[in-house]
Amino acid sequence: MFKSGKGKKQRNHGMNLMILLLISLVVISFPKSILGASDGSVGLLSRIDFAPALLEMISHELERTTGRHFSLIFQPVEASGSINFSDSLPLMLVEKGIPEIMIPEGLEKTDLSISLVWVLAAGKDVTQVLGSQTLTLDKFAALLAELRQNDPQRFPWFEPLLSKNTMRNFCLLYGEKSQKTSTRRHRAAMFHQQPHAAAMLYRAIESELLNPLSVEADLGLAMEVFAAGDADFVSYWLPQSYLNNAALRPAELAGVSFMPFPLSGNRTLLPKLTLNLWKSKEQKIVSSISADAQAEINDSVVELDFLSETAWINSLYPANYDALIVGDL
Amino acid sequence: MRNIYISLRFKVIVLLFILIASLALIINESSTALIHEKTREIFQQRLDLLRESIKSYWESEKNLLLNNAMLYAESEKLTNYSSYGLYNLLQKEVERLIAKTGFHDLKITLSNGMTVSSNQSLITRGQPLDMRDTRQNLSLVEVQNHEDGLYLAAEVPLHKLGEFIGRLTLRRKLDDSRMKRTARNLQAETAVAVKETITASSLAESYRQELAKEHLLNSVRKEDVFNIRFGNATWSVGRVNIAKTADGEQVTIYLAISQEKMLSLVEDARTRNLSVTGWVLVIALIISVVFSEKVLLSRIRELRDGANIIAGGDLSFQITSVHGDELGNLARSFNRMAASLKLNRDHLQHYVEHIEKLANYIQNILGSLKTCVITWNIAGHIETANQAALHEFSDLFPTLEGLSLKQFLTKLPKNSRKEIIKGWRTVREPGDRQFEIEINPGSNAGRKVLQGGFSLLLDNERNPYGLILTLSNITQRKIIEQQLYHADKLSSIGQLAASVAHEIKNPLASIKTLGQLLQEETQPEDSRREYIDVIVSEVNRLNMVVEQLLKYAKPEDSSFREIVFSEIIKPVMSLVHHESERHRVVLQADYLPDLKVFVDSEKLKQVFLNLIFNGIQAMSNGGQISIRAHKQSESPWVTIEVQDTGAGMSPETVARVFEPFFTTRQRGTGLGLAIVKKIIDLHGGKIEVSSEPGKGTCFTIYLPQKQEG
Repeated sequence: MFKSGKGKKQRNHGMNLMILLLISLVVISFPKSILGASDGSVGLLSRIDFAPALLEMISHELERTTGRHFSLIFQPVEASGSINFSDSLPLMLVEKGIPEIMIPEGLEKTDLSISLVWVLAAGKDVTQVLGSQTLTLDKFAALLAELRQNDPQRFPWFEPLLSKNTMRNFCLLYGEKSQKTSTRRHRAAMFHQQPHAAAMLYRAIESELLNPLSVEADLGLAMEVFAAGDADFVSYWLPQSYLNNAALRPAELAGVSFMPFPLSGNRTLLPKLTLNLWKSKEQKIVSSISADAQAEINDSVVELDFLSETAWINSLYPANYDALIVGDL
Repeated sequence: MRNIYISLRFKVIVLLFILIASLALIINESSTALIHEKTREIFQQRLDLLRESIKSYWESEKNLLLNNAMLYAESEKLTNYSSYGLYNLLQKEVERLIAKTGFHDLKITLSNGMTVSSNQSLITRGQPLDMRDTRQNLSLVEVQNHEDGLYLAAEVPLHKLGEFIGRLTLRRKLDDSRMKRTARNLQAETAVAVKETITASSLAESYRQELAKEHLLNSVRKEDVFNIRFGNATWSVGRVNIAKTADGEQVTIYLAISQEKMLSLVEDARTRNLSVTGWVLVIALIISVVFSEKVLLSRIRELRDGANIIAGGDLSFQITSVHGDELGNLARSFNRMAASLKLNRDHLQHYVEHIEKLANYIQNILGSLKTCVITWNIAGHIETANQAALHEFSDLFPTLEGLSLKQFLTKLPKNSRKEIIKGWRTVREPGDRQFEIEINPGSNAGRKVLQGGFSLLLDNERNPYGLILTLSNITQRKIIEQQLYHADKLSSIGQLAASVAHEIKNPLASIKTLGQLLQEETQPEDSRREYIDVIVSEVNRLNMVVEQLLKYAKPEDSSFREIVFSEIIKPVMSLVHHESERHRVVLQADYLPDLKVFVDSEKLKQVFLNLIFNGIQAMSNGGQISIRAHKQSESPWVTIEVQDTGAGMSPETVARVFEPFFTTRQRGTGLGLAIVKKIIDLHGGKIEVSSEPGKGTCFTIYLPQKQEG
């Protein structure tokens, strides 16, 4: 069947050429998918100041969801709610609640969405210590104190408190200054006993549990600090699907545990931000994962809404932040 | 040795080339030497400058390090990370800051004793800094000598919001790569030494070791500039004590410049000079070729062509393009020369024509002379001979010019040679000495008698420069004289004979008559008859002799006419035919049928009859008589030979053979040959006899073409 020697070599050479031709045809037909190149760009319209690591996770999640690889282009939303469009994109992930008037024309909402949850991330060492325990607020405080005691040169907790959304989320979970006022009793209390988020955070800083730099830190720095191992705990935006499925997480998050922020009374609240996928009519996007595969959250979810959150940021963030800075609790 | 032709253009070009090449080479060498000297000077200056520069360089390095340290110290991230315990992030930041900067490491030592360093992955915890030490707030740069190398370290305080939080140390390792970089910047090899060790160097290992040895030696010598041999090259080294380490050890920097570079610069300069020289030579060659052609050779060629034209005979040629230089002067001189030559030639031509006319005239004179004129030079050779001389001596010498005296005399008879020599020797004696010479040209020409003498040939100063020999042909005169003598003699004899004959004739007649009467009266048987018969026959013989004598003595008339020789000889041969056959003598005649002679035919027949009869009578046993007649084209004589193969005659007989009454026979009158000679003389000819006993006799008759006289 096959001739030996020169004939076989010639046949193998011919086969290689055919394979190469096929590859070329596939590349020509599906260049982006085969070579890992982007299938296009997807605009990301949200008030969140996305760190590169978070964008990376969103991109992976989008790819997992759509089966296509996209590059994300972040379209910042100004504090005033105005949006700067640099390009008109056929696909956009739009934060839930953003008025449609702010969405570029020609796009229509799909059924696809990516949800981000705001959780507490615990470093590998702490995760090992925690094991499968549920982290309560008290335990959280105690753990922080222990960690601080073990290494007085190090602050075990870090937060991107410069991020307005982080402050908002803390206020959602732990109350806002306008709602509650700390008293003298509170001043002496530990941080986790403070009446509102600003007081809690301030007290935590004062207790040297929360790194004071958190006040000037943005989301990116916080994620860097946590990734470097200079903090054991940090708030984290995480795709909802990653929460209970460690396999979906990127490698650098191996060993890290994510959990809802501990609240008093053993409550849990999970702020959730949904990014809906909008597309142009020409785009054909289908979900590559079944509805059953969607992550389920057992915790109580606080659906974050653009309008309401923006309204809070515009109205109440300054006071809470000032209270955090100056300690005017 | 044969001269080799070398073109003037080639010589000019070669000369110019050599001159310019020499000049260029001298300039090249001079400039190269100057460049060498200057280069060495600059080299030294450079070394000195380098030694100064290294100090500035060192300072700039320190400042750069310090500035960078201060810059890093101002980094918000560094200070924040440092202040807020983000040591891992600080470690990353420090590593990030130091990456690809060329600095060895960046270390932050916090006031709490935490130390983060870029070249250590672990964050170390040491003793807290002594806050009381005021030096904590100082910035400094120092050299640190560690086991792993020499470092330049800048330390600055770290502040956060004005509060001291630690110290930042930025270090640069003074390693080989740094030295190489320094070497690149300074364009000189560098090495740094602390104590006895070369800690870092841009030099190759072997060179480094050499420098290390020198460093040890130099620590004693303390020379700041010295030479060192690296391999096959010499290097100039400068030494600078640049700083001291934190421990107080002297840090020395060595700067080394290879003299090879300097030499290579010189060599480059030399090569460039040579290249320029080469181009100069090429241009010079072109210019010299053009110059030699335009300015020199074309004009020389013009002169040459002009000379050729003049040599060809056209003396009217003039060079028209005359410039104001030496060649122009030459051209003018040439023109003057040509004009002068033309004038002289014209004069010369006139003189030559005059001389030619004169020469022709003289030649004509000489040629017309019947007298031989032969000129001799002082060396004894014949210079010239006129036509008469050539004619007279043509049978002996094909040409006379150039003959030496010896050669001339060789063909003359002995007596004539004596006369010539005597005349030659006595030419200076006063008086006109004449002499006679005989020449015997050959068998076809008659003997000649020439009379003449020598004269001195004098120049304008009356100095003799040769001799003139003049000779006149007196042969005919001699013949005539002889003939006259003979004739006179014969005439006398004839007259005597005639008178005797006449006197005895009558008595003889009487005797004869009486004898005849006695014959009639006596009977045949009478014994006296014999005697009477003898008397009568003898009387008859005497009558014949008397008749012959009277015939000999009687002047006879002659009738000359031109007649073909055959008309003379054929009748003669017919007459003697019977006699010749009887004596068994063969007669043979050889002559051209158209040979003509100017003779009296009857007399000449008589001649041949006598000669033939004599010949027959001389050959009693038979033989041959040959008659040959011919005439040579240049000779005026017709030569006739009558030769027999008889007994021949003795020389004494030959000398007297033509004498009247001379006979060797018992019978005969002895007048036959005398009559023959008389007849020949009458014709103006000549008869000669040659004979040899036993071999025969030859009578040679020379008859002139025309009667002379």
